[in-house]
Amino acid sequence: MKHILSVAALLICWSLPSFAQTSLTDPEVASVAVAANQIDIEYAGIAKKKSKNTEILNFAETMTKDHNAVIAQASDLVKKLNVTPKDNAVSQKLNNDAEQTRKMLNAKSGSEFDKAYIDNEVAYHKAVIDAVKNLLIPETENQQLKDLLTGILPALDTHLQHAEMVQKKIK
Amino acid sequence: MIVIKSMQFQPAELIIHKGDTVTWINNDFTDHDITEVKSKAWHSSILKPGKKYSRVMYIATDYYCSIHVVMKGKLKVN
Repeated sequence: MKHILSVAALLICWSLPSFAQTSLTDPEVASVAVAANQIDIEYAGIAKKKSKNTEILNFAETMTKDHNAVIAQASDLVKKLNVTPKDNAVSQKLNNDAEQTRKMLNAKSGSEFDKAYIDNEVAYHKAVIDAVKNLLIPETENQQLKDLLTGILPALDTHLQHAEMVQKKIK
Repeated sequence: MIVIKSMQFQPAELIIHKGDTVTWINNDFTDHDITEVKSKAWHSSILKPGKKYSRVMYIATDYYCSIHVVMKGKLKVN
């Protein structure tokens, strides 16, 4: 069953009301999942280049490892299922927003960068958890893909708690 | 045996006898470790998925994963 209202809620959250009637196929869900993980790896890459804060660097390293592990799991599954991830309005919107965020992060330095990075990580993980729970899982028809998405939620929750802990220390 | 799964130590709290060997197994999709909280007196190496770590325990200990610092566990000695 497609959850058009959930997609609308997600896209309003990500400020793209023009795609409010979008629904996703399994190849499109896979594309969104990979994009969401890849984006956080790229944010972590910026942090590892720009920050000198140990808490930020440790968090960024964990994001790199964990999100790469999720992508590896997803890649193995889509190969097994013979599914090719398909670019779509949601993954395009994610990538466009991420480009703006990368520009914002790259324009900052020092403690201003650290704060911007970890604030974004808190907001990003909240948005991704919401999207996985309320968009990607309900939209997915294949049970193995649904199980994979369900399985990554504890990691996303742990990342959010970790990010919030670092955020308190940075402030 | 303490299983690491879904970003948790399961069980998160375990009662052991003095001198018991405690084994952790990483059944999660990503790396973890086991690190003593109070003074970092001991820690495992990085446990890849599927790997185990064992340690003989004589005292009650709080431990955590230093990669995912919000993951915590507790050993109590009976």
